[in-house]
Amino acid sequence: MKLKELESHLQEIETFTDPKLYLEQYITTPHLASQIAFNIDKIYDDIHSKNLCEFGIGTGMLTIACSFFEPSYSLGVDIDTDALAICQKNLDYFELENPVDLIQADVKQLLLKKENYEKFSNLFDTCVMNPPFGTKNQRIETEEKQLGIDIQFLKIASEFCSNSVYSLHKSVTREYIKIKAKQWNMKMEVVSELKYNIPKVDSRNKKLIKDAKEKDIAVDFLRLTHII
Amino acid sequence: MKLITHNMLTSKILKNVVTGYPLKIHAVKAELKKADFQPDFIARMIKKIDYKTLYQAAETLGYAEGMPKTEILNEEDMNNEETLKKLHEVLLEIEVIEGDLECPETGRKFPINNGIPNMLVNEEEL
Ligand SMILES: C[S@@+](CC[C@H](N)C(=O)[O-])C[C@H]1O[C@@H](n2cnc3c(N)ncnc32)[C@H](O)[C@@H]1O
Repeated sequence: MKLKELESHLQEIETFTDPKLYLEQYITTPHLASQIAFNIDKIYDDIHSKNLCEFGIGTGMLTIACSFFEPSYSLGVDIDTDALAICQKNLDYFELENPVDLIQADVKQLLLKKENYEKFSNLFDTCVMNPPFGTKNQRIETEEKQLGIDIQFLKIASEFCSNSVYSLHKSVTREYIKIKAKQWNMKMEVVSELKYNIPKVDSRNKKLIKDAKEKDIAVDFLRLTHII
Repeated sequence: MKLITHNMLTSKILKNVVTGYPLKIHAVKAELKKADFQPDFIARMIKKIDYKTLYQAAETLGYAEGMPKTEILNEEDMNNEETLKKLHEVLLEIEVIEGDLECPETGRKFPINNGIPNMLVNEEEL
């Protein structure tokens, strides 16, 4: 599968129809998603025949991108019914040969009790995700924003996976995540530095404006691995 | 929802629930969806799943025929191609599309719509 070919397949993915601001629902672009999946496969060989999970799967961009590299089994989790419905539609559309399952759950609730998700722990090899940033200093500001949610996503991903966690984070949080990773006995590396476009928000009704672009923000594509 | 996923789900998040496992399946609609057979994967997974729960789930859905009737699989089962094929079907191909999952202790139901189990709970239930 060539990179360009993958990107054009991913352009067929239906995206959020009515994105919810407080859940930070914006997609990873086909351009970014294709590069991410391509690099994880080519550089680290962390997809083929592996068990994959994604937290905040949204409309499925990253999991579908990874599916082109034939994981054994994938699980996608999201809190939102509407996103999951679109995701299911996208999965059906692509007629993937690898099994993908979806569940509706809140990462915050999953983390409440370890025994609650213990059976999932270490079933997975790899996690690929683009979590909500959850930080305050952001143009799209709402009261209900889930503060610190980015770290909670990383935490649950690190508990589910025995191997690597790939995730996108604001570059300004790099040092903080490094400290967290260390606490979890993981090694963090920056695979690449990206520019990310978050769609613009209409300040009157706090809705995302379709196709309008906010200024680029600096984002790290991180890889966290367990230190054995 | 595939049975490999069901095998991992619990209702332990609910207040006062001790094991919350296995969740009882009530299927209104189930389907078979073909997936590529990967014998190595199945052999690997079978060590990670709860076989008794898998058997029960398959039985509830009417697919247990051909599965070894035991609590724990032995070496021989794990090397038998026919058995692996059957387990592949049960783990990855059977899909519960509509129905619900019931907490064995409280009877709380988690609905499955469009193949997606909804595991969200209210604050008061935690
Ligand atoms: C930035 S979007 C990424 C969507 C998709 N993964 C992609 O890359 O295109 C974040 C996703 O996380 C989901 N989400 C937000 N908070 C969540 C929570 N507490 N638990 C589970 N999912 C959550 C949102 O519904 C949204 O789909």
